[in-house]
Amino acid sequence: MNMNVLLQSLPYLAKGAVQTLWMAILAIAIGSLLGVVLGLAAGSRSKLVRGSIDTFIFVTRGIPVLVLMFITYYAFPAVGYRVSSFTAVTVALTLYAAAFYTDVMRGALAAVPRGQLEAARSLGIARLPTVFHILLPQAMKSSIPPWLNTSIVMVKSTSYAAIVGAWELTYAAKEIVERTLATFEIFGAVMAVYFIICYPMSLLSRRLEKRAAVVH
Amino acid sequence: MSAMIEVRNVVKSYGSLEVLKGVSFDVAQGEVAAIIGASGSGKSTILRCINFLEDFQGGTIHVSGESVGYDTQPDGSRKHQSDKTIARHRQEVGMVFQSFNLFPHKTVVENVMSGPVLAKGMPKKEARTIAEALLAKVGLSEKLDALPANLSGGQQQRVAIARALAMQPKVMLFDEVTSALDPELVGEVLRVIRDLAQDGMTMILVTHEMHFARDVADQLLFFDSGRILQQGVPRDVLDHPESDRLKTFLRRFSEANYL
Amino acid sequence: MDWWMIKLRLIASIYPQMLDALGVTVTIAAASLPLAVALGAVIAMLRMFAPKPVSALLGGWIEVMRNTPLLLQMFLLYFALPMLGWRLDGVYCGILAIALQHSAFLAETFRGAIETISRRQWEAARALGIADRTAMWHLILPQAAVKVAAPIGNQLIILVKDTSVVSGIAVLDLTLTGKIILERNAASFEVFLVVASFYLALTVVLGLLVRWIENKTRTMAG
Repeated sequence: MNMNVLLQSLPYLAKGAVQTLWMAILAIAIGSLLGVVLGLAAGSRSKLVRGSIDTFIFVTRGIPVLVLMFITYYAFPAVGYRVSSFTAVTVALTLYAAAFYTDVMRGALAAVPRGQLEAARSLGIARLPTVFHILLPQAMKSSIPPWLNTSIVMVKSTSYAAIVGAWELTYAAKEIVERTLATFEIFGAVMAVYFIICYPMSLLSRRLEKRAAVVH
Repeated sequence: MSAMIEVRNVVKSYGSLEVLKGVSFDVAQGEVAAIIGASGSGKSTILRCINFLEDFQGGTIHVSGESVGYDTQPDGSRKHQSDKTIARHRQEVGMVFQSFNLFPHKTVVENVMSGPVLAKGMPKKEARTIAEALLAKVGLSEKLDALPANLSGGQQQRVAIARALAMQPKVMLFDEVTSALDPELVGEVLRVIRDLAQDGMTMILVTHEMHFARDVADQLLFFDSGRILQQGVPRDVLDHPESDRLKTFLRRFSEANYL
Repeated sequence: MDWWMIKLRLIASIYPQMLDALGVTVTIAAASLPLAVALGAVIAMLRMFAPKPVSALLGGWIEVMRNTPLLLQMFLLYFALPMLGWRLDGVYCGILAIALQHSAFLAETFRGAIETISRRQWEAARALGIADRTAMWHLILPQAAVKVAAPIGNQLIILVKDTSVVSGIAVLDLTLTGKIILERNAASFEVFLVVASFYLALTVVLGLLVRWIENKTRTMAG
């Protein structure tokens, strides 16, 4: 083991980790927002709206996130926008996250018992307040575990940016390994970073799932 | 030694909660005993002890002269029997549950065959002959190859009875077998049990069907908080309750039934 | 019109290459799934029945596999194994890495399925005098198998998409082939729309398969 290499590389890896975190945070935050909006819109009466959302989810979830990254990476220049590889990859991750979150949200909204809606209607509560005060809070709560699981997938997926050529933690690791050949040390350390981010999320998700299972 | 089932001073507790506080009774060969009582009175627990699905801390249970679950050592201490002995004992005691507990991935006839094949190692052909005869007996010859999920509750419960009978048990235990059924399906299951009684099967029924207990049972046991408060001929027990507890229990029942 | 013709001609010209690449992708998926299922089943059984230290160790292994990126697991096999004097071809590294990660997910699915088989099923078997080991093989595991059929199908869909990661270790699958064609021909991102359509076709077919399995197993799951 060559711990010196690892120590010397730490600042560079830390920079990569920051980049990775930014990608993940942006994708998860914007993706979640889109997920809630699209999840609500999926309950729309308009066939066009519902159909578009269905298609978006269907296509996005049906292809690898890596392929989506390549599409945005090459599509922006093709339509005349020069964006950084970071932006292209983050856009792809965000779209991917949005598709998953929308699906989660749609399912959670549908799972709120019909009686809740009927009770609200019989109390004379209008449509919008019903959605925001009765439907959404209940759906949000039950969607937290799948939201966490999707977010773990998103964090892990940021590493694919290295294949497309966007610089982040995994890319940085590969650079160092190619230079120093300290394969185990560097890749091991980088895996530990991902693990430290993802493991608490899985623990939390499992705990919430268990609690929900006990309540029902 | 004359009793088919002999229960003596059985004590059972979960931690500090005593569910059976010294229960004794006999069921003779060919006799039908019915147990009534509120939930939590220990009435289902004693059935589960007789089949050793639950262990118990004190007392003895004998079925057909053989000790259940424990052997008493010469020095008076109890020794847990081997799994093999317990399994052999269970083969002689048929049990039917409130929630049917059929094996969902096996067809009706396979469910009935499962005991003879998996516990006794009987060849499938032979087991199938037995199973078909038993299913005819409970009126389900038409459903041999159906999956449990496609049967009504009453039909599932009759399959469960046939499955228990396939082991040719000396004793049958029925644990609230009609409680999970829709009212209109109760009759078909009770009819099967009544036929069994007439055939001379030794049985214990834990039940809420008072009329049925009165008709079919030779003795009735009223369980309350882990004890037998009254036992005797059903007519005597039901018409002349000695304790306030039984009076209250019976009154609540007639109210519920005749609302 | 011209523009469309050019695009169409391009798409037509890359088809043979893409079909080869599709073969690679399908091979990797077809090889890694059975491996993952078998490995997952073994891990699940050991998790439940092996002595505590073994079970705990496997629990830790599962957590590491589930909470780190597939690409890095692949990198370790591809770049680090040769340093131990054990060189594996990229395709095999890909298959192995995918199988390892998915076996960790499947192991937990399997364990969950066995544990959700109701206590009452065990009791029904015991009441018939059936030994626990016999009940496990003949009554509990078949029910668990029915329960995991659809989850295995869903896992396969994720697995097919995960095969794209092998392009990170220079295996010429659909994704890397798309990239190479695109760069060599100075073609535009439409190449990746073709790539995407291949994956979509695969996942749609598998999705239909999963739905069929779900319908098939619903009555049996009880």
